Amino acid sequence: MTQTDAKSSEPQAVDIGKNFEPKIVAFCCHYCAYTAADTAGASRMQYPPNVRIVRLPCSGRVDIPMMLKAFTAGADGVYVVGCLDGDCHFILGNTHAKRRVPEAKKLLAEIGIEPERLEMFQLSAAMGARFAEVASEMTERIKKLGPTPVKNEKE
Amino acid sequence: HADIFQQALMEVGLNKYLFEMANIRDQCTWVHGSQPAEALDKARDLMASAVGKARCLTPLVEHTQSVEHSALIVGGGLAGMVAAGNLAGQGFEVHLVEKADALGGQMQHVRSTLEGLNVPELAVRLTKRMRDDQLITVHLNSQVSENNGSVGNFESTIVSNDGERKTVRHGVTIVAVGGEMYQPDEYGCGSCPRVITQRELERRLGQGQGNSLNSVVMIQCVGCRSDERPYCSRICCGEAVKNALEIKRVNPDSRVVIAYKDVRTFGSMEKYYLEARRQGVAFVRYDDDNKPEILPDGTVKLIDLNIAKELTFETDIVALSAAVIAPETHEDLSKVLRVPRTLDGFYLEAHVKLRPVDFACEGVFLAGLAHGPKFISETIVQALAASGRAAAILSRDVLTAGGAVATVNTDQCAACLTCVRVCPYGVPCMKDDVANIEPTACQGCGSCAAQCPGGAITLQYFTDQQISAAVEGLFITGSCPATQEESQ
Repeated sequence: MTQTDAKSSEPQAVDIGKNFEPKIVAFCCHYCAYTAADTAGASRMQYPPNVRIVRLPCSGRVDIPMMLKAFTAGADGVYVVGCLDGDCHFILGNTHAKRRVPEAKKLLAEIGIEPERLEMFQLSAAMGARFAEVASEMTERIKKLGPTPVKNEKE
Repeated sequence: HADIFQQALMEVGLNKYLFEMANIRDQCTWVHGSQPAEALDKARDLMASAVGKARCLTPLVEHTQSVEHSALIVGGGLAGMVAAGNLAGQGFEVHLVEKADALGGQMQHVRSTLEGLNVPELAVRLTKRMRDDQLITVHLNSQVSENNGSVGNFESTIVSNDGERKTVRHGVTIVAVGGEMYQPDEYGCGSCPRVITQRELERRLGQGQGNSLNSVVMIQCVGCRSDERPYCSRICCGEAVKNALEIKRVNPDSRVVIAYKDVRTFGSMEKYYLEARRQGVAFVRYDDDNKPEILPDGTVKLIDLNIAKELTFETDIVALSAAVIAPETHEDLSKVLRVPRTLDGFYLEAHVKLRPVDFACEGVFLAGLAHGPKFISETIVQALAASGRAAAILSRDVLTAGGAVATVNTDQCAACLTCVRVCPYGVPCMKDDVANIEPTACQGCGSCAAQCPGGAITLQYFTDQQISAAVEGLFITGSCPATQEESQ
């Protein structure tokens, strides 16, 4: 079991050591996001090594418990990458994901985790540069927020 | 690459769903080149993640389904007709859909190639073949408005300009919808009658107007190799040399100047470039900072960067080598067929080297200008390749499908109809008061599994348990670059 720090309802001010390197989980749909990541690789585009990809058939496979469980597993940040509007290989999956991510952010806020730690991005299979850009953006964002306030029982 | 490994498993008698891959190359080594220590930590995490998921994998059963031995080819130009002829020649039915009122596509604008191919004659021959072949049904003035199903069992709606709708079942789809010429407005084209496109020049040469051309300047790279369209249009240097040689042939005393950024008459075209030089065609180099200036009377002023001098030419004609571009209709079709496009608007193949005529979605193939600018010879080869790949599917009596699909735990199903409403394909239906998902119809997206309020639906190969294990695996090794650094 894991527990958040229950002392206050606000996120605790964290001591962001200068060497804090976040670990970020990216749920990527197979047809756009994962392929865009491969495209970035084929073009040798560089981005921070803090991002770890979990491949799914479609961003519509991502549900709220999955996003929250990534935080309880120890993620400092989580993001979902799906196809652009109208381009989902499974037609509507990205629409569902776009709806679920804000709902999950609300839950995070309620339990004292910064909702900015979770985000949804959309891109196409050819957008390797954007994939790398998103990875850099989220890494910077999470670095500023500091380590996850979720205490993992392993610590 | 995952498919290749899964094939290998099948060949030795193992279930292909007992396979997971850690992408430590394209998504690790290749993208973290300057941080090898961190990349190594990440690779460990990715491997632990793959192992975590693999431990939860179970063998999955696929179901066989019959195959529709026919093809839908979208686009009746060179690529579409060559592909149609190849498939019909092997005994498969073909539906050839063309949005214009005639077959031929861009071939109508080309008289010959550098190698001397008689293009109008080829067009006539191919068009006749399409008409005469019993297995080929040509749908002119038509477009594909809907497409459902999966490889071996597609169903598409063809709509004609007068609103008539036809539904066809087909086993494969070939996208051969072509490209078009950029209509330049640069250099006064469109307003100054002396400034025309290479296409128009070729047309006039075909009508015997070549001997009245005494001074021609050609400008390359119009509409591409720019910020808006960074790509090279591939065919224009060869085309310019072709037209230059033709002008020289009918009027040896003419002056022909080609203003270029780079001369891309590669491979066997090199000999035509040399011949053009031998016949006195002048090649002058310009760049974006030193673009040619055209005056209304057709006088061309440009700085030849090779000799760093400004040159002035009075001309009869200025011919612009306009880019090959992707038509706007590509966007609509890409949504209908659910296939991706590149940033330049052409269609994106599954893998540039290993699967150059496939789309990532099974059963859909690609050929011709729709894929990007290419020569007639290249289009023919690609169309034969795409139709060859398609024939490999059509020649099978059965395909297997339905492994990584959604399954319903009927004991937990509350018949709330959420899955019925959420599925983009309308697959779940109620049977005996619980949700029923046909394995061969399910596309495996997982929207229902994610949405089911009771957790009664499992998406095989991407179950909650497997994904949890994959996520937890990322944190098992407990390595953190900062800790490593500090401890050194």
